[in-house]
Amino acid sequence: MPTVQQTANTSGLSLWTEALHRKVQLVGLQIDNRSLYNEMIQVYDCFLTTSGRLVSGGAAGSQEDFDTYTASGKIKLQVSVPAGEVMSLGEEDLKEAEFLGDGRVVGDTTTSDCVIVARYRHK
Amino acid sequence: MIELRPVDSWVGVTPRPRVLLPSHWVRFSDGFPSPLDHVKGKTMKVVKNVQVRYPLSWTLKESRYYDVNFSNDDGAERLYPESTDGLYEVLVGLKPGHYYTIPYFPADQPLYRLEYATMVPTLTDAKLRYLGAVYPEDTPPGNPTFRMYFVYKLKPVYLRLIVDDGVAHEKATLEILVNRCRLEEGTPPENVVPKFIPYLDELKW
Repeated sequence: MPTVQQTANTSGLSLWTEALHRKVQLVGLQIDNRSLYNEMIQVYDCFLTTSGRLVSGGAAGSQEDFDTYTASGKIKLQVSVPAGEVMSLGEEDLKEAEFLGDGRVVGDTTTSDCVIVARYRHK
Repeated sequence: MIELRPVDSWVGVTPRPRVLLPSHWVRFSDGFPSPLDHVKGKTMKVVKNVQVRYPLSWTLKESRYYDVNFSNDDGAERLYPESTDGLYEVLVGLKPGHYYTIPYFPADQPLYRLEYATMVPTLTDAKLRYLGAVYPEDTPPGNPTFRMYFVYKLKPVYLRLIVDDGVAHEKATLEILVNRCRLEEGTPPENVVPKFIPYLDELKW
């Protein structure tokens, strides 16, 4: 299965881009925080919606943009890792972590000493 | 009383193809309207076919719906044949998700309804919005059971994708297989029973 590595970054870095006809199931997440600071890691789901119509009456809906920038996405996972610690989440922990669009990871500080490894599967 | 029952067994089982194949026969209903005279009441043989996959997806917000138009109209999905001797057997598999679908033919006229006047799929009614619904588990991608038959100049068929309340966002994916068939009119052998294809209006009763 695909595996991607990133480091903590306040601007957000890409884990995967959306596969149009598939969702992404996160099956593994390892965060090795070798920095001197506690790190909060957030994984965002970034996508655009189809406008569609409202069930209540049929009026045209509006497109929602969760993709303009990372923080406009929806947080699907958030973990805090103390300084010097490693946190691993396996398939059982991430069973319901399903993503519709791009996956991006954000840290509350920018440091190359906090390494994030994500394993995922398309479905 | 003692009843001696034989162990259940099947004999003479013949595998049945899932889709139309060359040398299969189809018979179109007399209920097809006049613009569709090229198939109305006719019995035809499949002379060749090819299967074409075409997945489609839409991401929708809670309590929203989207109408998928399968015709060749502008802005539609263009899954209709462009020749009078063409028949598209379209199998639709729905990937798992928190959404459901309701077929319409033509627009705003649901296919599945009951006899009582108000028992028609109605999205604004809390109970009737689920009447006639087709769920992803009813027609999974690996074994699609929902199929439609499209001919040249058929009016648009719609599939309404609906994301239910309580689901923030959902991606609805249709795994479509178009079995493109070329037909030739003829008389089937005596031992062959052609597959009967009714006009879609005949399903609304």
